Amino acid sequence: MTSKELLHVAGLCAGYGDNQVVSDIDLEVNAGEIVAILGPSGCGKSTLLRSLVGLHQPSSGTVHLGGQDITNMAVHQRRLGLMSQSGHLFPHLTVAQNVAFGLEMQAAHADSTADRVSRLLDLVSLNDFGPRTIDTLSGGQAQRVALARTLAPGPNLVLLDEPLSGLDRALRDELAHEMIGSLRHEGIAAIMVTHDPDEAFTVADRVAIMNDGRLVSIASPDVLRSNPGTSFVARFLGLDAVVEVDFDHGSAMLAGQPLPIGLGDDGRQPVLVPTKAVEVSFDATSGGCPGTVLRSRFLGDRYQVAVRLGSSPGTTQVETLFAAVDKPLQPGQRVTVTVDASLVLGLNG
Amino acid sequence: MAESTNAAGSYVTSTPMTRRGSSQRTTALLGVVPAVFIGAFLLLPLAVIFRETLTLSRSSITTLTGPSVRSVVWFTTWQAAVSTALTLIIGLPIAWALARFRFRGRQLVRAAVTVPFVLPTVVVASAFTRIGSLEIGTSVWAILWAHVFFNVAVVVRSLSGYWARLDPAIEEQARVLGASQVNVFRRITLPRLQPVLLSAAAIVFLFTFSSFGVVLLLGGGRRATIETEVWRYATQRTEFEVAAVLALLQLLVVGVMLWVAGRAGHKQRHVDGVTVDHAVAPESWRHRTQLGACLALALVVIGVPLVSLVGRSLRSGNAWSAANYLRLFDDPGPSSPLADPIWQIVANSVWFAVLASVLAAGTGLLAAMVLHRVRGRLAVLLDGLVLLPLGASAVMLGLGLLLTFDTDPFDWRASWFLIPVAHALVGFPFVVRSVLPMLRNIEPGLREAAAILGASPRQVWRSVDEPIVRRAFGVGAGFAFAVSVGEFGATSFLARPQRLTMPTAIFRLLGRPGAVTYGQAMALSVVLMLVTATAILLIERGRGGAVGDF
Repeated sequence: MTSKELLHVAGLCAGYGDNQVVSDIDLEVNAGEIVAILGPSGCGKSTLLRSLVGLHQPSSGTVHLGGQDITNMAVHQRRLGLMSQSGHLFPHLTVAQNVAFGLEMQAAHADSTADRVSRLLDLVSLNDFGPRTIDTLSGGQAQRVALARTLAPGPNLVLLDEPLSGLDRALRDELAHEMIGSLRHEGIAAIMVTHDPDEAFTVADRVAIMNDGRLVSIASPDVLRSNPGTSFVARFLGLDAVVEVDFDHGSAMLAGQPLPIGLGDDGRQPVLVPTKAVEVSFDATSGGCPGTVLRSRFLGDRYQVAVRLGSSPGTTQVETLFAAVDKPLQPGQRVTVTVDASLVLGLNG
Repeated sequence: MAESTNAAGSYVTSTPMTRRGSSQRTTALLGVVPAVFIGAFLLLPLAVIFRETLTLSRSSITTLTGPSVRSVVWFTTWQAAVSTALTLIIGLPIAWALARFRFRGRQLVRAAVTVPFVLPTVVVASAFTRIGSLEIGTSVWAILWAHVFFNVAVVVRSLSGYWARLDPAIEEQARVLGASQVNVFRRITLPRLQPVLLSAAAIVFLFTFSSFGVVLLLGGGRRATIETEVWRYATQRTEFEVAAVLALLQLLVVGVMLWVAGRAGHKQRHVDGVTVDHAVAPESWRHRTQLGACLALALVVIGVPLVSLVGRSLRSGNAWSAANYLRLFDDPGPSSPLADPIWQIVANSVWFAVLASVLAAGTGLLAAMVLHRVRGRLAVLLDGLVLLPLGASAVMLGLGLLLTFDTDPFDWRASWFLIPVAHALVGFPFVVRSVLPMLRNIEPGLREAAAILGASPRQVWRSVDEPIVRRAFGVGAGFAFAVSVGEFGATSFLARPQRLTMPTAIFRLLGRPGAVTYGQAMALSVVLMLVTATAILLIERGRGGAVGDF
């Protein structure tokens, strides 16, 4: 990855009337880099994208692209790509005409246009689809055409607004793979907005978490996963249990175990209990804390079980932990829970 | 046993197999009255007109191929084309503003734009005899503006609803791909609107091509359309053969236009099925300016003539007064072109309208029930037949009735009842088109559930269909009333001087020079406008949401 800075967003705010939806966004994207913006629906992700592409006028802040200030530039002169969930293909044009549209707007030569259109249709594996009309396409095919259309004019940066969330799971994984392959192949940088952590972690070089109009953390997927930092991020990622415990002079108890000193300030604080730190057994003598199985969820090769801790000496509240097991457990089953306290992480707010 | 829904999703009446024979008998029985009505008063007169064209005399052929008829055909086409273009140019920005912006009074503006469309042609023509102090009554601009005024509703209503449902994200996508705003409009918006534009244009062309009242009153005797020529040859010169040929020519053009509109209308359903309103509040100054300009345009085109009409009805001499209205109650003087006092004429109109709406509502309801029960090719045929009174112009109906009922044993020309019959014919399609979609929209499961619970077919109708249809029936009957009160084309063939209607009286008053008769014409036009507006308002209140096709 080159470290050349392509997009620079500084102090961007945007909203509708008095309602500020996006606040103080600072974001850099390097050439060829793929950044995912991950957040719950309604957190301002789409408004941020619309502000970058010029469809929404930001109330303050600046956007630079390749060193040039584009904050007030007309939409059609920015040369960015935008691809959204519903594709928004032009319903009155054929597949090939859709892909060619951006090229024609640049007044490209007709021959080279036809050439590039067929190359792009190849890239998205729709070689023979050129003359087809839009209403004959399946959901996955339509999104492939939308991708080809977005890439055709050769933008330096494309903005992907939940591009795959209308599709079913299997197709989504396949297309995410293809899409990122195409972007990397063409050396195009991308900002992808999504509410699906799996998608973000699969495709992105860096993941930015957005909450309530602000970017609350930006990091590579590995770093973010191993240390989410705040309880919002940890809860949103949903991989591990977030538990509130009471700290007294730097020490606290969880499931009958003392937690390492200094994970949190005094008072009630959240901590992250990774799934791999939790073990369940039916052996009541193992010295763990008694618990009750709430539900089991199949994760492909293992089961994730949610276990509610019964109150035991040293535990002042009832909490739910996640553990990975080989076979499903019945809700209501009594188990014994042990936690490897050294793996527990402290969280902010 | 009972069928439910066929593959295309259209509803199929649930009829137990064993009762099919009796069901067919019921259908036929229901059909008798509408069949007699349409057969005797529409198909027979049209046949008579057609027969008239088969035996042309030499002099008729000379007239028809002469330069006068040729220039009439040319003017008819020219003014229709120009009127259509102007209506589109003015309607497009108004439709755009209504489609793209959400603002207080949006529904009100949409309703206000529709007002001219439901106004009687004679009122529109009166409004355009003079605008303020501007004497435009004799210029061709009066005709063109009146046509725009009248038809802008067609463009705005069909276009704005469709446009609001088009997702602006498609246009935004084109912008991101590098299209300037002009290119977006040319390459994306216009092609997407094309089916509706085409269908609206065809309808406006149809209306203006067959324009009668406006051209008769504002043409100053010098400008004529095929319609006014049919009237002139039939009533002034009694050359029925020429009138009949011209009427058939007219019908031909109308048929082609209806076909174009129908095809375009069929296409638009495939383009977009979503029913989301994408309008946004006008936030920026730019948006507010654009919205303001479009609303101002609507105000000038539609508001100015109406305000000017009301203003003139309140002018007597050089002062403001209610004199014109008070004269509506006077006995007609020796110089008056009217035989009765005007309040008597208003009473005639209302009486005719009541009769016509009862007749139209009754036959229309029966016809809708028949149409709902038949399937296949017969249904397509009957569907077309129901719309025929709209397609065949009012002038054609008038001519047909005049030619048909002038010989023994049906010499009814001197009798008044042909007028409400003609009006009912024009109102008939409105009733059918209001009721039929409601019948078709009733969930088939409702009827089946009622039948399973032990309701007889009559009880099913009473408990399921009737409550739902009653509202649509009222709307259709209301429209038939409003149409009748303002009907001018057919009435001008049938009305005797001793029994005039409001529109024909206004025509006579405007035909006689003089400040007194002019003032009376204006006052009577306002009265006619108010009666129509009241009827339409009652319909709107009674309908409570969209009902049927209107």
